[in-house]
Amino acid sequence: MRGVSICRTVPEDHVLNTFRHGYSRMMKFFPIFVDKKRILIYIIPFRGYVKQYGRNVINSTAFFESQIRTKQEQVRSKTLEDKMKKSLGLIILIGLLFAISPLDAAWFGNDTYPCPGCAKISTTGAIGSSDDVIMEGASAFLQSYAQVLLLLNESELSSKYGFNFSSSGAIVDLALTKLIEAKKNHLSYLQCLEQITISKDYIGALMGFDYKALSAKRNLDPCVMDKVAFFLKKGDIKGFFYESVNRMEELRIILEAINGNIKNSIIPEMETLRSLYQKYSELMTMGYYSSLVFAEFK
Amino acid sequence: MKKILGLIIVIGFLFAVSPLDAAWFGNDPRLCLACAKSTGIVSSDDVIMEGASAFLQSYANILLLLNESELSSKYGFNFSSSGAIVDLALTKLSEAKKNHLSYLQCLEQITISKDYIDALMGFDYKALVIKRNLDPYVMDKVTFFLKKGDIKGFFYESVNRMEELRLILIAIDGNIKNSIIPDMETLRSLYQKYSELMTMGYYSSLVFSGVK
Repeated sequence: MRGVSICRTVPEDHVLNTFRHGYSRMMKFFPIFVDKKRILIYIIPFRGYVKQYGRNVINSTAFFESQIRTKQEQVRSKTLEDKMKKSLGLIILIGLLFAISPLDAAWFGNDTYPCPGCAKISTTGAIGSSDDVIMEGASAFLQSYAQVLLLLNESELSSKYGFNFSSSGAIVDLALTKLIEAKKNHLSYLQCLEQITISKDYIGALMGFDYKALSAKRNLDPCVMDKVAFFLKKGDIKGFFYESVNRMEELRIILEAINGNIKNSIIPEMETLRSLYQKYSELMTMGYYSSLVFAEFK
Repeated sequence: MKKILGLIIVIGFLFAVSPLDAAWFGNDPRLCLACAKSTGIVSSDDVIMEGASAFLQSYANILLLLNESELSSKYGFNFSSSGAIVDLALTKLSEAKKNHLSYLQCLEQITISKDYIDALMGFDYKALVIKRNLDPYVMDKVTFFLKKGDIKGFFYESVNRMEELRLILIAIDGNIKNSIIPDMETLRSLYQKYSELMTMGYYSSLVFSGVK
């Protein structure tokens, strides 16, 4: 055998070194597959050397076995390390999920009576729960109100710089779009409510709720709370949402008028803007208070 | 004919760019014109106007922050956009506070006329509430100062409330920068305080314009 002939001409240490070199190369390239059987396969080409140098074989085998044991220990410790890494990764992932977990957000009519299954149409076209519909409506209303405040800012600045029709027009357009979106979402929720029977227990809870205590506890405006309690104290959830939709419609009409004026380069009347602000502010606060009430029954 | 037509166009143009009698936050006692000039500020009108403008922008950003929190119930909290929103709200609020402080410094240098104070004291606040369908709960907080003719007291109250808001916003900003979701109760308190201060500022403007 070629191996034997070569072996006769090479010193014992060289054979061992060759083994070691081969082994270390194998470890380098295939560390994950290390086990006794696989190493034996790797030894096969060198069996001539083994026959020739029995002592070396013993030494070599001992060397391999010790190396295998070391490697197995390494593998075991690596497995442990991997497990540790995985655990750490899991902890980080949980932390991350916690970090991006939702707030218990409630800014406009949220957490109202759930209507699973029937509120399937949201403004984004996605199939969602009534929670999604309300959430999208609240989000749209908040954006619309923010734009109205920016419109008031334009009117404030106009006392010095003149009225900016271009930016005001863009602001009103967006305020209008978002308001229509909010109204549409609230109507979807109402359509959904019309198809179900609200549980007697839930209505009873709303009727028995202490609205004044909530106002006192959270330092709320009792005048606005009275407007919310007017509906909810009778358990009239639908009435409250119809009121919201009607108020949104009023706001929409005012915004349409302002929009028309701006498009015709007519400065919106101060009284119209005052009315717009008051109505937005009150509706926003009513929506917020209703969320606080609904959250008590979650 | 051409001259007349030109004149009509000019008048029309002036009408189109003429200012609104804007009054959204503390506008406009018009008390401090001379001393405002001495502090290097064009007029107290400008100071109040700029303060009101900054406050409105800050409040608009707060509503956008609430929108972020609303959407977080489905999409998770967006730290990046919320951080930018809070930064802007904070900058504008600081600007508003600075302007109101400038106005107060200016007020400290003058003696407010007795006639003006009397007019404030004799003003029918309840009638204004009824006429304009205002919220009596908030109006009471404005009346508390103005019925005594305490204009400075009212503006100091506004500045103190702005400082309270600023501290809340700084805390929220710090949390967001450390990837901590702002506490819902903190956001609720923030909204309530902004909403009340905005309405108080608006009502005070209505009173001042009624007394003018």
